[in-house]
Amino acid sequence: MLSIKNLHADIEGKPILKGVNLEIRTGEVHAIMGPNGSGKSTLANVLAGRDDYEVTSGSVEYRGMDLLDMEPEIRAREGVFLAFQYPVEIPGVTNMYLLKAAINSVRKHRGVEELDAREFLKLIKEKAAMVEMKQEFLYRSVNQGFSGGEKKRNEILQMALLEPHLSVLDETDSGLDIDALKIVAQGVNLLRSEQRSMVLVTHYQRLLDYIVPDYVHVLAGGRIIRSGGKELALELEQKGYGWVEDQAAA
Amino acid sequence: MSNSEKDLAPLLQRDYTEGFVTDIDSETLPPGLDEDVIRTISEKKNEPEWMLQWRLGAFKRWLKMAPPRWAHLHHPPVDFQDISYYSAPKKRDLLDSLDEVDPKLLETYEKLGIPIDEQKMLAGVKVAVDAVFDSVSVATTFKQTLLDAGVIFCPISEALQAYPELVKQYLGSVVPSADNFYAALNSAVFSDGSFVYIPKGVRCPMELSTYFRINEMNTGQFERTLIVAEEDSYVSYLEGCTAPMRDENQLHAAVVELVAMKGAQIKYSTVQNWYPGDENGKGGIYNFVTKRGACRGQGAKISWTQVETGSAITWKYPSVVLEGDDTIGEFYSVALTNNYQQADTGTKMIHVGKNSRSTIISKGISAGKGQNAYRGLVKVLKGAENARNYSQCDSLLMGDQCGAHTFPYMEVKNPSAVVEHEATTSRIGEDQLFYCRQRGMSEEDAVSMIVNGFCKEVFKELPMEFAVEAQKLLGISLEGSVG
Amino acid sequence: MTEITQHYLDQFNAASAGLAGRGLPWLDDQRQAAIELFARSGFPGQYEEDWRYTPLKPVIGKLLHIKVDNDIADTDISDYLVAGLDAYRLVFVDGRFSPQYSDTSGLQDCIVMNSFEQSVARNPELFTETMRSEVPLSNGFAALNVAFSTDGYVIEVAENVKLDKPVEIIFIAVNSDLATQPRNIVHMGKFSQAVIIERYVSSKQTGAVVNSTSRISLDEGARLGYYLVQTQANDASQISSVDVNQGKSSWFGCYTLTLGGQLVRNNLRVSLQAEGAHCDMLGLYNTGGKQHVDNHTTVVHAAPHCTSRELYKGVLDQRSRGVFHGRIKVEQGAQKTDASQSNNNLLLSPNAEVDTKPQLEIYADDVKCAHGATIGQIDQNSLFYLRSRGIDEKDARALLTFAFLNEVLDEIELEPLKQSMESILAERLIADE
Repeated sequence: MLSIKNLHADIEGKPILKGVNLEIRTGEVHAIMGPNGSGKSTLANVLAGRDDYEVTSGSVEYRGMDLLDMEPEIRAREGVFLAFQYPVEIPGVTNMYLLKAAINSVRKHRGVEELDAREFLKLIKEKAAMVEMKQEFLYRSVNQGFSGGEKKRNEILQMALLEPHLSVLDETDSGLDIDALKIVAQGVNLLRSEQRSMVLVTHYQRLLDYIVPDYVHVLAGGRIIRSGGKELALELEQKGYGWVEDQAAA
Repeated sequence: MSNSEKDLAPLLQRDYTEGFVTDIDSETLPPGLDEDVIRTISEKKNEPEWMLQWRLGAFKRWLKMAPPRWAHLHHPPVDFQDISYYSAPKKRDLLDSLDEVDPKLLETYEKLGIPIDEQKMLAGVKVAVDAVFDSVSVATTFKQTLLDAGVIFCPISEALQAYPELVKQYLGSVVPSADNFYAALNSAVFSDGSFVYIPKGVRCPMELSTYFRINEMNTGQFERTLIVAEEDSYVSYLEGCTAPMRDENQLHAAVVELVAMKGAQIKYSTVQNWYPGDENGKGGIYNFVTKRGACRGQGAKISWTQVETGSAITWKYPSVVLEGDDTIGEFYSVALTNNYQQADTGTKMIHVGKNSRSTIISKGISAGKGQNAYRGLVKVLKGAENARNYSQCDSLLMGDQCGAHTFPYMEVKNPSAVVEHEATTSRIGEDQLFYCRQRGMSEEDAVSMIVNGFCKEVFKELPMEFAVEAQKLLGISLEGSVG
Repeated sequence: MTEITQHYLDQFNAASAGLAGRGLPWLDDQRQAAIELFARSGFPGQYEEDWRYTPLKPVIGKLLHIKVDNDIADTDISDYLVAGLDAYRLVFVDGRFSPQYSDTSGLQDCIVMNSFEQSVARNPELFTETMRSEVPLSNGFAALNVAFSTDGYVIEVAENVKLDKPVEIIFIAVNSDLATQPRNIVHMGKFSQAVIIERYVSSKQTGAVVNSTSRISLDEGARLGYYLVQTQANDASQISSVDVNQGKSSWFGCYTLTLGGQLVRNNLRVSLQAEGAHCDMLGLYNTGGKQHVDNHTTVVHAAPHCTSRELYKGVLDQRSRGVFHGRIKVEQGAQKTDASQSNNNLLLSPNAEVDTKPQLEIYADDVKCAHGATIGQIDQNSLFYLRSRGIDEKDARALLTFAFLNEVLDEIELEPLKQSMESILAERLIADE
C-alpha cells in the first residue's frame, strides 16, 4: 500500500523529517506516536501534499505510484485521506455542498458515475447516522461554529463517504472528551477493513484503547526510532517518550 | 515546493467573450459638447421644447461643476470634449415589428445570448427585453403583451412621444438634473434608456430587462432609465451591460430613477460586465452611474441587487430615499476587481419615514492589483422614529497586491433608531484550499466554491436567470450552490 | 484671507520677538514656516472631508487672545486633583508651567522639561535635540501650535526604566478667552515603562481654547499607558493632536475620556512601525447640553505581525453631538495584521446626534480586520425588566447607561482615576432629566 523510504522534509528551510522509513501493507493499522515537535503532523501533511512542506529527499510509493509527484487533489482521488488536526472553516459553503463536490470529483476520477441529488442524500444520511452526526450539521457552513468534537466527527463522516484506501488521522483524538473520542473511534473501527490501511498519528496512548493498532512506531527528532506491536504504546504510556529517546541516543 | 505566497488571482481570470465589435454603419456626432450638440440630440429625437430646456438647464449647471474627487479611485482626467455624445445605427425608423431590426444587430444580441426574438427565452423564462445599442434603443420585445396588462415598457425616447406627461411628471424627481457632476452631464445629453410604468395594483407579468451595449469607438453612453410603480404594484427589472475590447477608455454615465408609491415594490438587478480593460490595465469602461429610488408611499419597497464584475472604474451608489412610513430599502452587492480594476461602490439609505427599514449586504472581492472600496451612508432624520438599519460589508482578498476598503458613514438624529454596521476582511486561505483539495477538488473549483460561498447572500437575491449569468462571470460552477 | 486668520498673524507679528527660545535658528525657522503655512491654509473648513462633522465655530468664531506673557494666574489646585491619585505632577496654568503647584521630587532616570524658557536656560543642546525634529503640520491648528507654543511637557524615560508612579500633567484654564498652545513630547526608551495622565480642566466659564499637540514615541519593548482626560467646563474647547510612533514589540494603551468641553476634537494617530507592536485604544464620551465631541483616530499598520484594538463608547444626551471617525490602514506588506475597531453609541435624547465613520483601508491580504459600529437607545426589554423588579425608571436608565459604559471604564487600570470618572458619570446620569 505505502512505502516510505528515507524521507526528508523541511518547513521554511528547517529540516523536520530526517529520514523516515515506513512500510504499510493493505489492511494494516499503524500508530505513529511521539513527543510534540517530533514531526508527526509533518509526516501526515507531507503524505497529503501540503505546499508548505518541502520534500528534500527520499521517496513515497503508494499503490505502485510515486505519491510525491501527485497534486493534493489527485492523491485524494486516488484514495489518500487526511483527517485534519485542525479542520478549517469555510463560511457560506454548506457541509452538504462540499461533501457532494468532493464525492463526485472522486467518483469521476475513478470512472464511476456521479451521484445525483437523491442518491447522494440517501448515502449521506446513512453515513451521518454511522458517526451519530445530527442532520442539521449537514446544512451548516463547513465546520463553522462546530465544537471540537463536531469538527472531528465531520472528518470521520467525510472519510466514510469518500471510502479511501489509505486514511491518515492526524491527532484525531486531540481536544476530545471521552464520549466524543468513543464515537469517533467507533466510526473509525467501522471503516476498518481488509482493503483499507490506516495511519493514526497521536501523542497519547488513550486513542489506542479504542482503536487497536497492528503496529506502533515512535517518531522522534524526525526519525522513527522504535517500532513494535500494540504493547509498545502501553510501555510508552508508563515510561514516557524520554525512555525511547534515551535508548535511541545510547 | 513551497508556494504559500502564490497569487490566486489568475484563478479568477476569465476571457472577456463579449469583447467583439459589430460592423455596422452608424451615424455618429463628432466629438465635443456644446449647446448645439444638445440641441441636435433633442432634435433627432423630436423632443418637446420643455425637454430641450431641461437639458440646457442641466448643461449650464454642469459647466460650473467639477468631477467629484472624494472616491478612492485614481485615473487620468476625462476629456469631455474628446467624446462623441451620440451614435446610432443608421436607417432606423420607429419599428413596428422585430422583423425590421437590422440582422447585424440581431446577430450581435444573439452572440451575447440576449433574446430579442420573442420566441426565445432566457434560461427558460420569458423576459421582455429593451436592447440599447450605443445611444438608441434598437428593439423592445413583448411590448404588446405588457400593454395588455397595462404595463408600459418602451425606450424613453418613445415615451417622450407617447406619454410626455408621465415622463415630465417623474423625470428628475428622484435625481434632480444637477444632482452631481455625472448626473448633470447625463441630464444634458442622455440619449436613450428604458421607461417603465406599472399601474396601480398590477403585478408585472414578466421580468423586464434592458441590455446596454456600447459599440462605437470614442462614444460615451448616457442612458436614462425611469421606473414608476403605482400603488400596490410590483416589478422586477434586470439590467445587463457589455462593450467591445478597446485600448481607449470609454465613458458610461447613466442615471436610473425609481419611484415606488404606497405598497409598491421594485426589484432592480444589475449584472454589470462592461469591458474591464486588459491585464495591464489598458482600456476599459469608466462607469459613473447615479441610481436612486424613492419609496414615496407607506410600505413601499425598493431593492437593489448588483453584481459588478466589469469596468476599469466603477463609481456608483444605488440609493433609496425612504420617504414613506414602513418603507423598506435593500442593497445587495458583489463587486469584483481584478488586474487594475478599481471600484468605489455602495449605497445611501436615507430614512425619513417612521419604521423605515434598510439592509445593506456588500461583498467585495479584490484580486490582482484591484482596488475595491465600499462607501455607504445611512442617514436617519429626526422624524424617522424606530428606523432600523443593518449593514454588513465583507471583503475577500486574493493576493498581496490588491486593496479592500470600507468607508461607511452613519448619521443618526433620532434616538429610537437602531443602526448597526459590521465589516470583516478575509482571504482565501491556503489552509482552506488545501482542505478542499485533500477532499479531491481541483484548486480552481475550490476557489470558485469559496468565492461562491462568500457571495451567497447576494446571489440568492438575484432572479434565477441572472444568478446563472452572475456566477458564470465569477467563474463559478453552478450546480446546487444557489437557492 | 479672513479676519480671523489676520487676527492671529497680527498677534504673531507682535509677539514673535518675545517668544521663548527666540534666537535658536531652528526654532525661529520652525515658527516662521508654521505661521506661513497657517497664513496660506487658515483653519480647516467643513467642506474638507476630515472636518465635515466638526463645527469649529466655538474655536474660530471669536478672536481669542494668545497668551504670550509669563504671568501665572493664581488658582486653587485642590479643585482639580483626583482623590487618591499618587503621582508625579506637572501643572500648567493658562498654558504656563507653574512650578509652585508641580511636584516631581523623587522622579529618577527620567528627563522632564516643562517650559521652553527654562529648558533653553538649563540645557539648550538637549532642548534642541528633543524639539527639533520635524513636526508634521497636518492642518492650521498644528501650525498655530508650533508657531506660538512656549510651554508643554517633555518626558524622556531612559532605557529599562520603570517609573514607580504615574506622571500626571494638569492643564488648567483660568482666564477668559485665551487660546493656549501646549506642545508635549514623550519618548520611551527601550523596554521602559510609564503611565502618563494628561488632564485638561478649567475653572467655570472661561471660554478658553486649548490647542494641544502631543508627540509620543516608543522604542523596542517600551510600554506606555496614556490617559487623555478632558473634564473642562462646558464652554471651554479643545483641539488635541496626539501622534504616536511605536517600535518593535512596544505597547501603547491609550484612554481618551471626554466628559467636558463645548467642542472637543481629538486627533489620534498611531503608527505601528515595527513587528510585534500592539496598541489598545479606548475611548469614552458622555455629553449633554450643546457639547460636541469628535474623535478622529487613525491606526497605521506599517509592519507585519502588529495588532491593534479600538473601542470607543459614547452616551449622548440633550442637544449634544458625538462624532467618531476611525480609520485602520494596513499597508502593503503588513501581513498578519490583526486589527479591530468598534464604536458604540447610545442616544438618550431626541435632539442628540451621532455621526460615525469607521473605516478600513487594506493593502495586504493575510490580515484579520474587523470593525463595527452601532447606534441605538437603551434596550426597552432591559428597562422593563429592571422596572418590574421595582427600580424606578430614572435609576434603571442610569444603571443601564452605566452598564453600557462599563466596558470601557473597566479597562482603566488606575483605580483612583476610574473612581473619579465613575462618580462624575453617576452624578450626571442620575441628575439627568
